Parts: sequence; C-alpha cells; structure tokens
Amino acid sequence: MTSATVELRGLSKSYGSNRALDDVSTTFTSGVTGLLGPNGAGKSTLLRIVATVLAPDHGTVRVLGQDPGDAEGRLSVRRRLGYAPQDPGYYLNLTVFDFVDYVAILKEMNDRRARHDDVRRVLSSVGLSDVAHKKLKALSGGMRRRVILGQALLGAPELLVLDEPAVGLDPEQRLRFRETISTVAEGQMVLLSTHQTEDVAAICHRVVVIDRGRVRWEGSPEALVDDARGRVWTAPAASPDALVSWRTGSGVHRLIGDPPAGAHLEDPTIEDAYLLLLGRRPDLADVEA
Amino acid sequence: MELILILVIGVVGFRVWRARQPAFSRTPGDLVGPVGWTADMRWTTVAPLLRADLRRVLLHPAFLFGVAITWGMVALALSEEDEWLGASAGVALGLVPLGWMTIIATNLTALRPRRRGTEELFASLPAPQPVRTSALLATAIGPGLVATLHALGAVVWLMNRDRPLPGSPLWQEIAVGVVIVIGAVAVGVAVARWLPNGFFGVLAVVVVTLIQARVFELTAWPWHTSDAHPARFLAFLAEPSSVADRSLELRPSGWHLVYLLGWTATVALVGILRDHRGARPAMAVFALSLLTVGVTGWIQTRPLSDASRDQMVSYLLEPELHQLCRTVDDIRYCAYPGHSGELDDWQATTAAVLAQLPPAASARAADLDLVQRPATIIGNSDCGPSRFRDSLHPTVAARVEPARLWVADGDVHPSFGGEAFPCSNRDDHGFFLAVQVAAWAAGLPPAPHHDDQRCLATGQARSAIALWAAATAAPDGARTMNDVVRDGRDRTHLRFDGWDSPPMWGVTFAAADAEVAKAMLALPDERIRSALSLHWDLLMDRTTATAVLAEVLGTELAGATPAVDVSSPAACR
Repeated sequence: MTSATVELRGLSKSYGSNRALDDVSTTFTSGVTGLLGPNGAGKSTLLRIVATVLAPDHGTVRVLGQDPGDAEGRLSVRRRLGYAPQDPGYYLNLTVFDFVDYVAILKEMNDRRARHDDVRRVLSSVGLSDVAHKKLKALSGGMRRRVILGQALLGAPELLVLDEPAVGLDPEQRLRFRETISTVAEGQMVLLSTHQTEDVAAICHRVVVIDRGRVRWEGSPEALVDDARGRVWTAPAASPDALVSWRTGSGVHRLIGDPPAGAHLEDPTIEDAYLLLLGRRPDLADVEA
Repeated sequence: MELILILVIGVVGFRVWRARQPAFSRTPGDLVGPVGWTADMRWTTVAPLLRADLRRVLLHPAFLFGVAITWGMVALALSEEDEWLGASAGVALGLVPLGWMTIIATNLTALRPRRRGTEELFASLPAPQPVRTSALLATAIGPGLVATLHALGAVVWLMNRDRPLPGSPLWQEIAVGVVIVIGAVAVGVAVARWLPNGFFGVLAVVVVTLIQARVFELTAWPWHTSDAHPARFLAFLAEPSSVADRSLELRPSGWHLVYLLGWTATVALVGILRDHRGARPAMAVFALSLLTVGVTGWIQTRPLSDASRDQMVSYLLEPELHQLCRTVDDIRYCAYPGHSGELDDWQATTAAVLAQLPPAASARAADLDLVQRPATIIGNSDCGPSRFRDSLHPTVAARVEPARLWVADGDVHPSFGGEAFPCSNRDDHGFFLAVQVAAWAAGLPPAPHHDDQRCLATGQARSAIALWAAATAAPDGARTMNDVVRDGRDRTHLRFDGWDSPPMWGVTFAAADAEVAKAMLALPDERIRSALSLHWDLLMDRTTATAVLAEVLGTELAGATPAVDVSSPAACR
C-alpha cells in the first residue's frame, strides 16, 4: 500500500439498530472513484469515515498512510483533504468569498494574500467569480453546491471526498463539474458518491457499488457494463420473468434479466448494469434502503 | 432559592436537549470534531481566525443591542453619584449589561457551526480546536475596546457636567467594568464548548447575575452581614459600602482587578481544556490562574491590619485629629478632609438661621460648633435604612461604641453624605442642617446621640420656633418643610419611618408643632422676629407651650397646644 491510498478493512458502523456499514473492506487509489448505491446504502457513512469526521465501530482505516484514529494522524489527513459533505450547511449572511475564505483559514492557510488568491482560483474553477461578493442567501441551491465544491478544492488537496456533489446542478453545471473533477483528478485521489450513473461513466475510472452496508461490486465502469452484456432487452410487453423492467418513453419495455419471447438484445448502459446488480427497478432502487 | 431553581431548570434543559439528539441525523451524533491538542498545532492560524471571528462578534445582534443599551445603563448608574468613588464604580456597573450581551454574542458565535449545520464540514478542516477556541477568546479585544471607549466617554461626560465631581476618576475601579466585559467573552466561549446549546448561554447570564446579586449580597439571607464586609470583593463587582467616606472605605481595587483577570483566565482555560485535557502547558496556566484567584481572593478578604483598624477608629472617635476646622464669627466649623468643600454651605446656612432669630440667640455663638460626624442611620444600596456601624468593617465597628461616636455634646453635626428624602437625590437646600442649627439656638439637642436617641419636645414653643426659623432661612424652605411633614410623619410625630437617610435631628418633632410652624410661615417675618425678641426667654423655656407662642404673636395658630408634658423621660431638657 502506498501513502496515496485509502485502505479500509473490516469496517462496520451502526446507528442504534441500523447497520450502516457491515464488514466493508476495500482500497481506493488515485484517480476518480465513484460510489454507487441506493439511499441509505452506507455511501455517506463510508465517505464520512474517510473524511475523518466519523469513527467506525470496528475495522481499520488508513488514509494517505495515516490512522485517523489518533489526533496526529487525523490532523495529517485533514491537512491533505478536501471534503464536501452531502448537506453541509451555510453561513447565509456571509458572502461567497468570505465563506470560502473562512474555510481557507480553518485549512490553516495563514498568508492572507496567498489565501485570497486561492479563494479566487477555486471560485473561478466552479464558475462563481461573478457572484463572489453576493451573500450565500441570495444564491440558488445549485450555486451553493458549487460553493461547497469550491471550498473542497482549496489548497489542491491530495484527497477529495465529495458526497453527492452533483445534486441540484443543471446539465450545463454538471458538465462543468465533470470537467473540473477530471482536471483535479490528475495526480490526486477523488472519492465521490452519486446517484447519477452517467457521472460515473463519464469521469470515474473505478466504481464501487454499495448496498445495505456492503460492497457489492468494484471495478472499472466498463467492467460493470460488461457484466450486464447479454442481459438487457427490449420487448413490446413486460415480462414477469425479467429481473427488472420498465416501460420507456417510446412505448417499448426495457427488460433486464432473462428475455421473453421476441425480445431484442440491447447494448447495456451503466445504469442497466447497476440495476441488474441490485436486482431492482429504478424507482424502487431509490426508495428501498 | 433562585439558584436551586436555576439548577433545576439547567438540569432539566440539559436532559431535554440530550434526549433530543438523534442517533442519526444530518450531522451524526458521534461526529468526530476538530482535532484536540497535538504537538503539531499551527498557532499562527489564531491571527486570521481572530480577525474573522472578531467581526462576527462585534456585528452580532446581541452585542449591538448591548452597546445600544450601555449608554442608558451607564447614565442610570451615575444618576445619583456625587463623588468619584461611587461614580467610578458606577461606570463599571453600567458596563455590566454589555457583559451580559457579550456572553450571549460570543456563545452564539462559538456555536454557529452547530446552529448553521456546518459542523461536519468544519470538523473535517485541520485547524485544531484549541486554535479555534483561542481565536474566539482573543476576540475579547473587541468587546474590551468597546467597553473601554464607553468608560472613557462616561468619564469625559462626568468631568464636563454642570456640577463637576470633587477629586479625580479612580481608574482601577473603572477598569473593573472593562475586565467584566472581557471575562464575559471567556464565559460565553467556555459555556459553548462544554454545553453546546444557546440555551446555556442565556442560562449563564442568569447564573452569573444571580451569583453577583444573591450569593454576594452580604446584607441579605443567608449572610446578614455588613455591606462593608470584605467578602463582597469576591463578587465580580464590589460596590462601595454605604459608609460614604473614602477614609473608612476599604477598596483593594488593584487586587480586585487581578482577581477578576485570574477568573477570566481560569474560565478561558476551562474552555480550552475541553479539547485537550491533560495538555501540560494549558494545565500549568490553568493552575496558575486558579492560584491567582485564590491568592488575590485571600488578599482582598484578609483581616484588617491593626494599623488600618486603629486609623479608622481614630478617624471616627478622634475627629479633632483628622478634621479641617475654621472659625467664622466665633462659630467653629470642622469637616473631614474629603468634605471640606461643604464648609461654605454650612456657614451660609448657619448665618441665615441665626439672622432669623433675636440677637440673644447669636450671643451664644462662641458655644456653637459644627462638627462633622456620621449619621446614625444611612441609606444602603437598596434604598433601605441601615445603621451606620453596619457599613463599617466588622473589626472597626466592634471598636466604635455608639456612646463614644455619637456623644450628646450639644453641637451641630453635619453628616457625611447628607440626609435626603427617601431614595432620592432631591436637594433639601440645607433645610435639614438648618433645623439642627435652629434647634441649637432654641436650646434643643441639634443631633441624635448614642444609638439614634432623640428627645420629644411635644407642645414646646421652642420646637415650633426652630422649625419655623429653619424653613424661613433655607431657600425654598417652606415647601421643603411641607414635604417633610407630609412624608415623614406618622400619626403624631415626624419619625421618618422607612426613610433611608432620615434627617439627623436631635428632636422627634411633634406633627402638631410642625403645623404651628407652618402656620407661622403665613405671618410676616418681621412680626415674628419682633415677638421673639420681646419674649425670647419665655419662649425658650421648655415648659412654654405653643399656645403661649400664639398668644405673644397675637393670633391663633393651628395645632397649638395649651400645655407641655415635661415629665416624660424622653422629653427634651
């Protein structure tokens, strides 16, 4: 294991009787890794542990060669970390610049001029230069998400942990987000959780699928798609034998699993592969937890 | 009782708050917060963090509210002060509400990540908690500066009033208010670190206030001791005792400042130690600050030295060794050094009274001494009457026997702070002293003796003449006497029940005799002076009744009585 990795072994975490992570073992290396999974699967819990803001009940964690379990290790990780929580909260009466600047101070960027330069840089990279002096309360939800993404980029961290970073972004912003992450990922490690399988396909070199607190699958997005090859069909009618099926906008049914008579074989998408893996319809995938 | 109530509310509030912490929420309950004490902390982060947090504290609505009300509070605290000790302590007192609001402002600022939901994000950032706490504590610079500006403004205002205060400002007394505001920052931050809910910030204000107002209110339950007891210096703010004379006041102001700074450091370290218990440097400073509190607390409350005690006893029992005297027209006026500015007023009042009376009265002027001595009854800080001896340091009080302090010597005795209408700063224009001088001229005891002993002159003509002479001699005296009779009488006498600083008269005047004096005010002064000249010896006889006075004035006087009972042991001789 090199220092530029995150290694999790036998990780478990419960909230009361709710087991959020159950004996998770995996290793993350440089590049962009996407965590896929339904709501409540344990993605955020895993990212919080990696981001050092949550301690596991059991198991060992090594982040960038450090043990976040002790204060020195945790401090070392945090100095090399950029973290965007799923629901971060804001100081709504601060301007965008002041809020990100405050985060930069807490990142121990003590030189005022260099800090301000970096704040301007990250605001530019997330497309918020024009609203830098607007108060956060005047911004839309999507713009606030970009503020949170921007603060995570401060100081060019070695490890970027992004929990649902693309929620609330419009298509144009999402493209910009992908571009930003792809740029950042050169030489850095990015962990992101998402519901958006297209984002994973677009920017991740590796996918980890988590369900009910366990790692169900890990590998490249292409490998995930390959696993579904020969299992995705279209047919004029639904089939009770299909593992997952739904009616598409064109009126035909898309089926995953065993084909009914007269079905037409389709090339799988990463979403098909994900649903095949979970064995659930898209609408249910988000509901079950 | 209040403390028990607050304790119960605090415990219940804390339990409710804890019960409402969800096991899993937007921010997990078992969040790993900022890093605690480590060897690799970057203290240089304190400076930029301080700049950012300082702005938040100074612009916090609670702090701005505190600033807005402080001027009013300072003005209120100074409204009745007429000397610099009380005024200086009043400036400090006026800054207390700013301290309350500073506790709330800093507490809420420290809790902002929790209140705004940024706790998880900020926990992931490297600045260790001791650095963050230190920066918040360092914001005390701002409120401290604001408090200093308010204090200086108040001093400038006091110096430029129409009636400038004698002496000069007592800066150490004034600085107490500034340190209280600085300490409030430490309280707000420490409470936020240990009890992270805004409710406890407000509770801290209540508790601090109650500690000051109840625990260190030494004259009330359960202490029931003197308001001069040195234990009052263990409070945050120690008001001057009601003794009203600097030489009798023990004010270890410098030590009290160090004591407060020790508390401030202690509370600040309680906040810092929340995140790094066991850190040796912090523990050492914590121990040092506690030691400072202990040592300075002891110094302030240690027994009075023999020399100081003897000096105070001598000051009271041997006034001739300490007072400044002057003799004008054979009349001797003596005042303590801090009150010598009042000699001119006494002289004017005396001359005015004697001018109303026949030359026979003035002929005894060589026997008239006006010697300042404390009043037997003085008002305390709650506008209640208290015995003068209770305002002394207990060991001094034990040595000052009433019979030696308030000798029945027949002299006129102006008091330290002056007498006044109940809980009022109303000017009596010298009427109270004029009654003493007139009583002396009429052969009545001018001032009370021993433990507030006063005699009765019910129905005696000289009693009514004394009141009349005082009322005609003092500016606006007629109205003042009317008000005194209205507010100070019970069914039959002027006893001044409930007055916090009652007139120091040697006679408990009868209400009927006061009515006679009021009736005399309706007559031409010349007519009265002429009658008094003709019948002075008769009217000065203690057996001469007010009915005889009416007779020699050739008129009827409401309230006049036909006979005098001089057989009572309480009757004036």
